[in-house]
Amino acid sequence: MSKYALFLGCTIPARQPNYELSSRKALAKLEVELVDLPDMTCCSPPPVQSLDLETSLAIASYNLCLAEEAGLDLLALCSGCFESLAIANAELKHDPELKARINRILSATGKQFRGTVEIKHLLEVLNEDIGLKRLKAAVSRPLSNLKIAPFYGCHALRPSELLKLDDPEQPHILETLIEALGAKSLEYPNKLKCCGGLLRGVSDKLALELARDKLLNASKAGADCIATLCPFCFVALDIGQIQIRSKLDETFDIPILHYSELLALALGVESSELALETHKIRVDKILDRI
Amino acid sequence: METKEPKVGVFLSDSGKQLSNILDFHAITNFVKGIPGVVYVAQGSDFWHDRGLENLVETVKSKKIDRVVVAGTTPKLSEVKIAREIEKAGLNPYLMEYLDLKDHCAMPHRSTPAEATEKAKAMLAGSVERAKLLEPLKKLEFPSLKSALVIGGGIAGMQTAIDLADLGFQVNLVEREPFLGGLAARAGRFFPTDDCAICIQPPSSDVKTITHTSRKCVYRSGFSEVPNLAIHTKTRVLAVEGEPGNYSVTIEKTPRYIDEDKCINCDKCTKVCPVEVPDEYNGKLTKRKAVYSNIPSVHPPIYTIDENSCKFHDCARCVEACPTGAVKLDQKPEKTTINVGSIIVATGFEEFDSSVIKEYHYNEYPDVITNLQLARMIDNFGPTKGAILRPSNHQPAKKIVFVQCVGSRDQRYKLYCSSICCMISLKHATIIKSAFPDTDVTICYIDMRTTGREHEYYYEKARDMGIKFVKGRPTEITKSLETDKLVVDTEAALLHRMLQVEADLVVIAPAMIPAKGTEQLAEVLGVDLDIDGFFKEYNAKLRPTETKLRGIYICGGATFPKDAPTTSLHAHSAAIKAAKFLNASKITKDQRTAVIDQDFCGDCEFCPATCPYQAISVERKDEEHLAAKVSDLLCEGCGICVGACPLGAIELRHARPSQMKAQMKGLMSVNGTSSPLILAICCSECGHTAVDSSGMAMMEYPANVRVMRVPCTGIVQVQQILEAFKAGAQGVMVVGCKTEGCHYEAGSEKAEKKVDMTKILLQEYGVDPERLEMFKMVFIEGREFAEAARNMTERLQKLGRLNLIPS
Repeated sequence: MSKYALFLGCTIPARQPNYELSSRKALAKLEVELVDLPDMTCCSPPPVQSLDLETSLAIASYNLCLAEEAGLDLLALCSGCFESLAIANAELKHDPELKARINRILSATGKQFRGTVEIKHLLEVLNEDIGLKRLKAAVSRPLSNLKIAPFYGCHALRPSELLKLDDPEQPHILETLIEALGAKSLEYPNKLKCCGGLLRGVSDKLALELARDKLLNASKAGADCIATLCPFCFVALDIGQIQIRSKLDETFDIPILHYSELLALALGVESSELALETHKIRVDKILDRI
Repeated sequence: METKEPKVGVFLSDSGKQLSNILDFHAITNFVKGIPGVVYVAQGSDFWHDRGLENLVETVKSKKIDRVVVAGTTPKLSEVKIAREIEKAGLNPYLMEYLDLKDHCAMPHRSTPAEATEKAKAMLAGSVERAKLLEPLKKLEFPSLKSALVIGGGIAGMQTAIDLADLGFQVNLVEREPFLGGLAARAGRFFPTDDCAICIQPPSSDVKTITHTSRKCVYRSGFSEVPNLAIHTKTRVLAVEGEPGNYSVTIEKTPRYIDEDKCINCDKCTKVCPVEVPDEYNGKLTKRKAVYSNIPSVHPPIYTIDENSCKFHDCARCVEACPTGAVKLDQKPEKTTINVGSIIVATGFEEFDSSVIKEYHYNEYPDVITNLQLARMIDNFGPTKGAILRPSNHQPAKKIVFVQCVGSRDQRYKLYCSSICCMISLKHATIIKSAFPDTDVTICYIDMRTTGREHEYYYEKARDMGIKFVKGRPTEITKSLETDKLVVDTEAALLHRMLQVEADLVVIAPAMIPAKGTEQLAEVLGVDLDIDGFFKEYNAKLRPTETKLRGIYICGGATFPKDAPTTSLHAHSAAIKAAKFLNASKITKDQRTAVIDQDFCGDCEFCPATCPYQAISVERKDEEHLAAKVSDLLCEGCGICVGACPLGAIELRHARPSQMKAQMKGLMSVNGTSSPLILAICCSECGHTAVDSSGMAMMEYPANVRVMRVPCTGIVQVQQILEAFKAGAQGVMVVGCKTEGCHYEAGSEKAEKKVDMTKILLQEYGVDPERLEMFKMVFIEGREFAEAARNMTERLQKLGRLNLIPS
């Protein structure tokens, strides 16, 4: 039985209980134990990094130190958290001088970064740790009626040389894991293009246009739903559809589901346990088909 | 060595009294007269032409002078002229020492005449002492073959081969493919003339058709009929031995399996051949048989069998079909050795494999093709007979998008601009638009680079024809969901927005990279490649088609991607360089070379690796000992080995440590009011000329800086720097070429390392390492030299006097 420290970050606890619940329940079905460590702090995403890089690395590595103390690898659900923590971990591990400077900052908290744990993405845990064979065997409710458009977002794949999750231009891991649930994974144009999420509030129009293109391409390809990995992609495409309706006068009705939700459903978790009512675009028509 | 005391004659030029306004010639003359060995001192206006030169030569003869020291004004040129004249007078030309009292002394120190005069005395003392130790040097001759090997049968190789054959050289042209023409033959047409690719200037031996204006298709040019030109197709170079002028090259010919004398080009073998494989020549857009010929006009007009796909005796239908019995399935590879005087590399370039750029889906989407594949389509002999068809469904392509800089100007792949792709795309776009005016053509570019003569007109014409230009590098090529078209997703920088351009056919312009096998060939030849993997020229400006090894030349796309006119120019250049080298059937060279004292050589094997010219080899002297040996033919006389030998066993005949030490002592022997004394060891290439130019430009710096010329700063030895301090220098400057511009490849870089090493030693000896410094400059940086000399003086003044023996 494998065991990970769970890193939730900020957006998931605040806005997306559906992500947390589905991940916890699905991983429990797969006999993965998640440990909640007290005192976890901010992952130090790019906005924080741009203020002061070394301070941001110190904040990120504080979380790594907690995992090191517990002797557990860290599973980050949010792609942004995964990226920030994995970059910090990789950079401190291969730059001894940087590590020494960060440890000087950390010493005020009594922590020292040693570089003994790994940061894992949910897809990595499923693909490498559980394995496709075990995963397929655990599927009790195959999603064979669903055609799913996979959507990676940006933070899970890049910077690819540090994250090493998959090829950033031609990734396959999400498609493979969707097919493992019995569903059909669809190809569609601009699959790897930006969701527009981080442009919201900066250039709303461009953000919505990017989301619109993605929804359009996925629906033309015949998708029943889009599978996301990142809370921001979820927001951009889910709430985004309501805004596209009012601002761009175009109507879509494509349910957006985190991969973890599809996973939980396929593993037999009851839909009533998954807080699916948090979705702005209703997912009933998906549930009807499984 | 000389036993009798040398007789030194000193000739002081005052440059028409110009210098005597600053320098006290009376005092200088008296001083020089007092130096032992000086038998004659003359002062005159100048000694490098007319009466002055005649006087000098007469004096050398009448006074039996055997060492000449000339203090002149215009260096270099006059040095050459005087050396030539004293040689005529019977004196070995290397028994002369030249110094420049004008630009190295009077001009830069004109504000301090007393110090300038002291420095002039010191310079003369140094030169006289050095002159006394000079040795006569021999002229050497090496027999050489008037023959050449040209590697690569593209337009560069063919053109070089024709030039050399016309000049009477025996030429061997080696091509690894079964047919000549290389990349050019596949390209179809050339810009800016829209000329055919297979058109060449015919050899002058083609008496039937040759006129000044004639141009010929390769297959009609008489190229294969030139008596002193041997063409070897399907042949590779395996090994090269020997020296410039006399190389022995092992080549291996893969069989054609077709008797070259019997094949009548009838195509019957191809008709019966049951094997079909993708046709590389046509960019795999079509298939060919295992026995094949490329296009009707190919050269040589002899079929060939592809050994990788032919079933040989399991099938052998072609053997039966051949009316002349030309098919020979049992031919074996043949190794032969050819002897040539020089080697010319013309191996060209090729397209980068764009399939690694996954967002463009090359090799995955059949309708994404490269410019070279498109060129095959445009060619009437090509797979589509000139029609522009989508490979996926063979329907005409009505909307075509070109994508520039695929792999070029991209930090992930090749940083350089491949330089010809903009013009290739413009050529293709305009040809397509002319032939099929209703075709919608778009070119996505970062910058359109149309820098050659008439190239911009192409661009202008393309715009007039209605070809669309989008400034932006496409992010992705995708497949449309509704139609079978491709969609090019691109930024349109001039519109400030993203664009999605639909296309039937996307043509990518891949980076151009060195041809396969370039690295292995460079290794076989012992020549260098540049950072991008192309063959590196010895000097981009002066020796664009020469390598650092005499006798080995490079031309065409092997040195960097080139268009056809530039390739041709390059090919002619390589031919003339090779001809210049070998035309006399002998190589003449003087013995300004390194020599190894076998009594000191210590078996260490370090020196061969330090020589940039592979002039040093190590041979077995006896069972226990090795002996390094210098080839007088290969040695360029730089002295890098001298500086590298840990035992001081190597010396240059024209710059022996004893000569340099004597000069150094002389330079430090007179200081008077000049302080602190600084020795500037300058290379004879850029360092010494920077000193010239500071004087020519009337820059000023203190007269306590004394200059000693060495061939290359690579010669500098650690102990030599220590000797300088012992001789009285308060500081030492080492002035060499820029690292990248060192005329001897690695000399100034090695000198810099040695300076760093010596600084550590100085520290150990209790001498402030700041007293030693390396400088790198070129001729035009006279200002930098004067500034460095002033700064060094200031620095030493602050450090105070150096006392090697504490009082």
